[in-house]
Amino acid sequence: MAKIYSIHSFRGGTGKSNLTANVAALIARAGHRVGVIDTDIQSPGIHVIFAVRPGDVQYALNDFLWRRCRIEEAAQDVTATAVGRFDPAAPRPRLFLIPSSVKTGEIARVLREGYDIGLLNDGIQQLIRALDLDYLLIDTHPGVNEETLLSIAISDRLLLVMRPDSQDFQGTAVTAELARKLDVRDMILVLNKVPAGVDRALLKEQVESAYQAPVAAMLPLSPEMAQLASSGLFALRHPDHPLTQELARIVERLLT
Amino acid sequence: MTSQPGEDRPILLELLDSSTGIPQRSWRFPADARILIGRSEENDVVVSNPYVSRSHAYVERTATSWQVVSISSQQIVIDGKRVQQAVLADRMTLRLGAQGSVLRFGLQSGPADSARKTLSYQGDEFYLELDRTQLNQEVREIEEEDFFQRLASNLAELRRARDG
Repeated sequence: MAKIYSIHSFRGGTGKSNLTANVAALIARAGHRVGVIDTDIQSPGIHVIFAVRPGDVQYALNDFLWRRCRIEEAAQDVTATAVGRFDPAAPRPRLFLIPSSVKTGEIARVLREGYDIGLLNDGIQQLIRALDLDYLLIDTHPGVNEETLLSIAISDRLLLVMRPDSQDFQGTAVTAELARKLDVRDMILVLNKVPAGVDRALLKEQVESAYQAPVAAMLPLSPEMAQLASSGLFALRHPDHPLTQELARIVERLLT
Repeated sequence: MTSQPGEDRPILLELLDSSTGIPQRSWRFPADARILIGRSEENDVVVSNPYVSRSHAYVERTATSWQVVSISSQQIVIDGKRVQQAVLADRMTLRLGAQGSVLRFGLQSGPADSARKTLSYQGDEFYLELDRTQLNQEVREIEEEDFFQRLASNLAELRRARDG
C-alpha cells in the first residue's frame, strides 16, 4: 500500500519545495516508485528543481481539476533528472512529478474560483493506482486552507518545515494542532536554514518539547543550497555534502 | 502628543482566502513597525498573487493612527473604492489592487513591549515559548469553519478511500 506524505510549511521561503524534491529523489534512488504532486497551485515552483520547462508540460494538475485530463496524464517522468542512469525496462526506480500550471491565467482562475477539493482527493487515489506508486509526496501550499488540511488529513505522515524564527514557530504550531485534531499522529519536524552558532541540541530539545513531535533534521543555512536556488537537485549535485547527509537521515526515517 | 487608543498595541495582518474569507496566514508586528507588503521576498508580508505588485504597499503608525499607503499603481481597494492611502481601523479589510489578495488589519491586545515573543535570542542563547492564547484562538477559529467540520466528519471515509 502506498504511503502518502505531506510536506507543509506555514510561510513561504522555508525551503519546502527544495526539501520535497530532494527527499523524493533520494527515496526513488533507494529503489522505489515515487510521485510528487505540486498542490501549491497559487505559487508553483517545484518543477524548476526537476528541470521541467513550461513547454514540456502538456497537462498540469490544473487541467485535471478543470476536468480536461486524467490525473496520470499530467505526470511527468523525471526519473532521469532525479536518479541519473536507470534501466527503463525495470519498474523501479521511478519518479513522477505532477506539476501545477505556471500560466498566470490558470493561477488567477484558481484564486478566483477555487476548485473541487473532493476531486483533488479522488485524483490522489487515482494517481497512486495508475502509476503503481510506493510513495506519494504532496508539496502543499503554505498557510492553512481547505486544500492543505485535506492533504494533511489523508497523509500517513506530515513533515512540517520551518525556520527558527517566531512567526514560523507560532504558525507551525497551529498547523500541528489542527493535524492532531484530524487524527494525524505521525508528525515530524524539519528545521531549515538554521544559522551557524545556534546551540543545536538546545534548539532541538525546546522545539520537540513545544510541539511534542520529533525533529528529524536540522538543516544548516547552506550557501551551496542558496546558490542552487531551486535550479537543481542539491542531493544529486553534492552527494557528500553534510546537508545531503542530513537529507538522507530524513529519508531513512521516512522509509521505516 | 496625546496618547491614542491602540497606538501601543501590536498589530496582526491576516491574509484571507479570497472566496471563503478564512484567514490563511497571519503576521504579527510590534507597534513601532513599518510593514512592507508585496510579492517579492524582501517584503515583511509576502503574497504570491500575480495581481499584487512586487512592492505594493506599506502599513505604518502615524502620530494618531495606523495607515496603509499604496506604492503601486494598482492601489488598494477598501469598501469597493480604489485609494492611494487610508487610515486603518481594527478588523478593516483591504484588497491589494482590483484583483489582488485581501488582508485584514487587527489591533492585538496588550501593549507591544509586553507582547510575548515566541522566540527570543539573547546572544547565543534563545528561549522558545509558544503564545498559547493566540494559538488556541487561531485553532478554534479554523475548527469552527464549515470546511474543517466537514473534513473531520468525513475522515473515516477519506482514509478508507486511501487504504483501498
